[in-house]
Amino acid sequence: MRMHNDLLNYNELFILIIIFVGYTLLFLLPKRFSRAQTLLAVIIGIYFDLFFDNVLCVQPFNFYTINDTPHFDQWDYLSQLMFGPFAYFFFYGCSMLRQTRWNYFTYTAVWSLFAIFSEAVSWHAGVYHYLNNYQMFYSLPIYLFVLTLSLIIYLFLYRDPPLKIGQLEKNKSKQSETS
Amino acid sequence: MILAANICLLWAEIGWFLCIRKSLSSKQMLFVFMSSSIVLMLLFNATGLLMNSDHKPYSVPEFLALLINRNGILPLLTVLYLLAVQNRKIWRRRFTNVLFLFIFDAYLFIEKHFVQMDTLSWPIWLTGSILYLFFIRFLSYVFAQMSDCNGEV
Repeated sequence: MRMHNDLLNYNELFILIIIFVGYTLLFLLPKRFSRAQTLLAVIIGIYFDLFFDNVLCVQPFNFYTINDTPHFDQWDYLSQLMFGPFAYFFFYGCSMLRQTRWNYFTYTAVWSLFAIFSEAVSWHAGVYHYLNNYQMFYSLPIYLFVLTLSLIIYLFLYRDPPLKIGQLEKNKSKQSETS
Repeated sequence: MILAANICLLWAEIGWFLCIRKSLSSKQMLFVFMSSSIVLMLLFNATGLLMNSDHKPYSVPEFLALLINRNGILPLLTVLYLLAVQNRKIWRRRFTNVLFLFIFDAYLFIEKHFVQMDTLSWPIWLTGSILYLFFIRFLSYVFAQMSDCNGEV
């Protein structure tokens, strides 16, 4: 079902809604990371999406197009912003897991399935248009790779004990009391 | 040939990176690498669109070379630049700035086939490189302020 409108198409509305919901959730969730870690997580999400879009979306591969035009336009750039909060949520979930290898494996697998599901939703919304016989499940190895890489980044850069929920606010209030 | 040359360049750069003393934290280096990569990808897209270039489609080796170039060599060079301007005397900082500007411009001049901006003249290149380096320095400065990482940028 497509909603054609002069101002906003269905896919553009979808992008705006996801960006709004994602970043609102990011700000509303109890803080477990510092501001720098949060910013890095968002950058990681945007980076991976932009990277794979710039590889798979252009010649010589040209497996899909994003939104309404074959070249990059402002809505394509906006759609990259959608992925920032999801990387944050991935790290957020990682920090809440009991740290066992089995848990990490299952967590990555579940997130990969979730990524495929959300890609299907985006495809229905008209964000992605597949070309050259590209199938949706071809993205699964890419998601597995990206999520495993994100997990490695988390294990190396984020694991030093994540703050308990509400700890950041407590630390700030303590600092203000002492000053 | 072009792919081999780019792989060799990347290898040399990684070697350089491994050898030098790192005055930035891993988080800062990752942030600089990723943000400069993002900026470069956006710039490459935007300029490709603005110039409406009529380049022939890339072959797979050419495309891989472009990828190594855009997402490996140039962002790593930016990280090396930020590492080089850390904690040095003022004249050394200035020298490093000029040196890296020269390296960036020379590199872009050699690789202009991949950047799709053959029609642009060198003053635009130079201005673009200066703006790019300042922007990345600003970003990393903001990031350093946000984190508890030591090391000024």
